[in-house]
Amino acid sequence: MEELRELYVGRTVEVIIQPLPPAYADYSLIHQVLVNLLLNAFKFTRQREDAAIEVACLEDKNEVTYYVRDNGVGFDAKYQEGLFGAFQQLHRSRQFGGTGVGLSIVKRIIERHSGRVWAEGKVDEGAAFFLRFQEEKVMKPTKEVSSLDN
Amino acid sequence: MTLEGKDYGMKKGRISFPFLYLHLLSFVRLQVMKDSNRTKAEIISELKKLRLRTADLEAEQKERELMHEAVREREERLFAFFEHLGDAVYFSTRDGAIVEVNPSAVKLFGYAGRWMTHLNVKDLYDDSAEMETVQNAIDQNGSVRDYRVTFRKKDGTKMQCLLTSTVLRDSIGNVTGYQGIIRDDTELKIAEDPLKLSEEKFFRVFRSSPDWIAISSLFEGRFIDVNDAFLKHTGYSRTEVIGRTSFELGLWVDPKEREKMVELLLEQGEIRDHETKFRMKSGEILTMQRSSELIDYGSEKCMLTITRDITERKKSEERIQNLNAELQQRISELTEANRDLDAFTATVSHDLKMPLTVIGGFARVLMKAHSNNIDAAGKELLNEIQTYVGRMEKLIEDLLAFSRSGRQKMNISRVDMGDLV
Repeated sequence: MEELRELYVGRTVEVIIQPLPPAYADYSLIHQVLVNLLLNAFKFTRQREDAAIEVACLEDKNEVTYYVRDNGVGFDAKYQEGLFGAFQQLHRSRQFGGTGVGLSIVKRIIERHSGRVWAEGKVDEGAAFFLRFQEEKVMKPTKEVSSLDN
Repeated sequence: MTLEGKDYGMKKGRISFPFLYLHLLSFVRLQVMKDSNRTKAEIISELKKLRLRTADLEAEQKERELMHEAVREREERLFAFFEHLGDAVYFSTRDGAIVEVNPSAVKLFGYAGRWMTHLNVKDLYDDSAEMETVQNAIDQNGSVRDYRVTFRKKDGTKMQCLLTSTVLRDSIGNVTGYQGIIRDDTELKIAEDPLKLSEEKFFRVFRSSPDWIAISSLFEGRFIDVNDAFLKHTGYSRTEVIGRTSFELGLWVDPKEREKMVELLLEQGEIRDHETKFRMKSGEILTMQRSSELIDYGSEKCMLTITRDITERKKSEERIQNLNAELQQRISELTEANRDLDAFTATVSHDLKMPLTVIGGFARVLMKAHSNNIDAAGKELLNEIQTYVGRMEKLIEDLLAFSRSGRQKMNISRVDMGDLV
């Protein structure tokens, strides 16, 4: 988050981070996911003076759904399908910058974790990106890691 | 008192009262004319006698009417009893032609009411030989009581019944026919006989099974009995099948398979779920799954076979297998394509990055070291070059990140998401 703040010096963005339960995942890949999602959120709230980003989760029985929500320009729900495709940008790149690879990396990483990623949004009302990993029981720590713990 | 008395010098039989009275009067008149020399007193006494007799006759007539009424009532009662009796009742001639039946008989045998009187008792028996035995027993003893008989309904269903039958005789003792009371004992008899019960169960399964069931001689393969499902599937009629062998019908696509099966059956006593191809009457070949067992049918070694059509199932299985294979193929193709793509992206990105770094570097050098020799428009262009180089570098970085995100080895561990943010 600090790295991101540095990237966007001079902007006032209210970032709310709710308590988050742990996940079973690859640290560096999941780091990449969060960076990409937050970058996205920063990027698309650029035109807002009261920009706000929330990182939180929904808990339901065994399942945890993490999400990153912003109050940026949002998107038209009918383009939802194309959102995670490589090099697909709904907004002109000149306007917001970026290459259109960010979300496809997110999707790729979450799918490698047998999880699911999806988005909800409305034009001018912001967007939310949801992540769900496979249940803990299925996603066991690999041996190398557990031996490190010992 | 009776009209049949000899007092009136008349023959046995019925004669109406008025006629009798006239007859008597004319007789008296004749006597009077004949014996005109008889005394008046004698004639008067004769007339008195006649009056008395007339009174007697009138009383007798009354009594007869009462008797007639009683008989009619009794007949009505008997008829109602006959009509409403739960058991089947029939009357037949000496030859067995059915003369009259009650509604229960109609119900029991399942014929339309009026048709039963066109039948012969022998049509009701399942086995005509049994009918003769029963007939002889009745003729010898005059009647049989609760005699166990197998009758057959119109639809062919066999019924175990109890027959109570008596001969009917005319006034001089000649047998004119039979009357019989039939009670359906099928359920009762089955209930009390476990063997019959299991037989009945088998029969029901045999009849209603959607799978083929066939009983055939072991060595020859001659069909003894088959169920309706067999006929429906094969397209043969019962008469085409019973008594003929499976070879004659060309049922086995590979007749040698049957020989092997017989050997196996003799060895193991049973066969379970063997897959075989059978040829139907239409020539269509179906894949069937069959289970057979050795049974003794009478004195002959036979086999009981249950066969299920699994053609569709086989087809579906094959389809699924093909689809799975296709899917597997596609997956491996896709995985390979992804790997190629990642390798390609990585290589290309690296190769693109290097010249880009050089272009960007030279642009910077130009801006710094040679800024005096470049005018404002030139500087503007150099800035543009650097902006585009920067954008391209970002794109290449993202491409590399994309490639890495797919290839990087994963180390799953507990990640504190809160810390990560």
